[in-house]
Amino acid sequence: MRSLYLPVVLFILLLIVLLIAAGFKTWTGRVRLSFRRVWQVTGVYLALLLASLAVFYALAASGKAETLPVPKVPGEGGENEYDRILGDYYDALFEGRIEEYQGAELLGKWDFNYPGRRLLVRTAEERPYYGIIAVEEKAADDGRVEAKYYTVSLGGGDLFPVNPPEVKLAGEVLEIALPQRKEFMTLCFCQDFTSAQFTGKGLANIGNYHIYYGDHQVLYLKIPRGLEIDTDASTEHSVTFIER
Amino acid sequence: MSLTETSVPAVAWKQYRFKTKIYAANLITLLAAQLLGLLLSLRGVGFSGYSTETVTYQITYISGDIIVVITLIWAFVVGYNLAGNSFKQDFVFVSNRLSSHFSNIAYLLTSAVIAGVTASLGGILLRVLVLLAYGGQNHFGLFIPPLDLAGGIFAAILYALLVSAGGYLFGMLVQLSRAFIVLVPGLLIGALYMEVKTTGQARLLLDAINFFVQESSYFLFFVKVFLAVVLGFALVIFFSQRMEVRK
Repeated sequence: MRSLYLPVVLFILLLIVLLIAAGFKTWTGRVRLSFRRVWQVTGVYLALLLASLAVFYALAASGKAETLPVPKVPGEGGENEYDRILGDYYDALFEGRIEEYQGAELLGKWDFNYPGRRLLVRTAEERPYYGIIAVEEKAADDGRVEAKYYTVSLGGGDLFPVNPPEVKLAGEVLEIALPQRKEFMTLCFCQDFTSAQFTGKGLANIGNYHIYYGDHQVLYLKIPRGLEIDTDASTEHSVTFIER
Repeated sequence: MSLTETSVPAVAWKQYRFKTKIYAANLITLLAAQLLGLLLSLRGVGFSGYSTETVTYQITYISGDIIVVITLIWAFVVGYNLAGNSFKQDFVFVSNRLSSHFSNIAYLLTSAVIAGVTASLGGILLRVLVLLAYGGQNHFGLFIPPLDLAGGIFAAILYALLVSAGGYLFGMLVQLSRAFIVLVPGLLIGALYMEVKTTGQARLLLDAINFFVQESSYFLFFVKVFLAVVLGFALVIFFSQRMEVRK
């Protein structure tokens, strides 16, 4: 049934065109503008357009760096650059290489002395935590819990900032204090279809960018050998253990 | 018998100059149409968003597509009206239909150049206004390489010429018989409706549109538009030979 929209849209478009044509014919038939006046108005408009062109290239050249996020580039087998980056990131995580991996962005780092044998990991105020809590057991019992907070680096960090949590140790509880939600707005300037058609960006290049930078966040814990990790309802589905 | 000898190109040139003056108001309507497109695009032509526990992203898409589309509608209307009005004015001159068509084609070409250039630069004006309006907002994709902009202007001119030629052909058919004003849209929409009902897709229209809009080579795009426009004007000249001297 969705395909039926096209004739309907076309019909509405034709209706608009005919209405404009009727009004246009009436208007241009009745209104007599002097040739000189028309060229004056048009000249001002053209001057405005040319001035905006100069301003545009001045702004675009001196403005912020054009940090483009990873575009959706359809490739063979449905894979794209975005999938490849994510695949490499999670491979590095589950193989215990996240600290060395260049494609991971470190957002926070904490270090706690903890001599206990059990540690409860939970969020403050029992807010659910949807990221991954990766736990790696160290080779020795050094009495220190190291926490690092990562996200995947997609090159759009400035455009889509992450709002990382704070991690605190209170008694036998490692608490993830999720911050209040922040709102970010970003402008995506897309080329007109008349030029996008020739630049390989596709006719409808709008929406061809991934903006899911808030996802793929990992709290990576390195714990002393023999330390037991407990969870509650807020974290029970998030913990995964890393085998090196 | 006239003592003054003249030629078709000379008469067509006089008619063309005459038309640029009497249809000068078309430029004001173009300006108004583009400003309307600009206004409609100022707050963005699309939005998407994403939310997690800690962040909400909103992305606003800015593009001059609406300005271009409204300009193309204008070009269609100009072509349509020219077919209806020009013959009445052309009989002011000692002329024939051929010189009239040549002057009309030259006028449509001039209109297409002005429309294409201003529509593309209107998109630049939009970017500047949005930047000024939103201040230090995060943004990306702002810069357009000058060659891409030139290519966009070139394509916009060709699209405007194509659409105005379509409007001219449609206008000429309506001059032949008023029935075409209902028949052409009716047949088009009826055929599409039947195709969608039977096959589930409006392939005919999509294929026709994709023939132009999916062409990624400047040269091939030019050739396609050129051939379509020549065909359209040839049909117009053919049909107009069957018309009475003055309606």
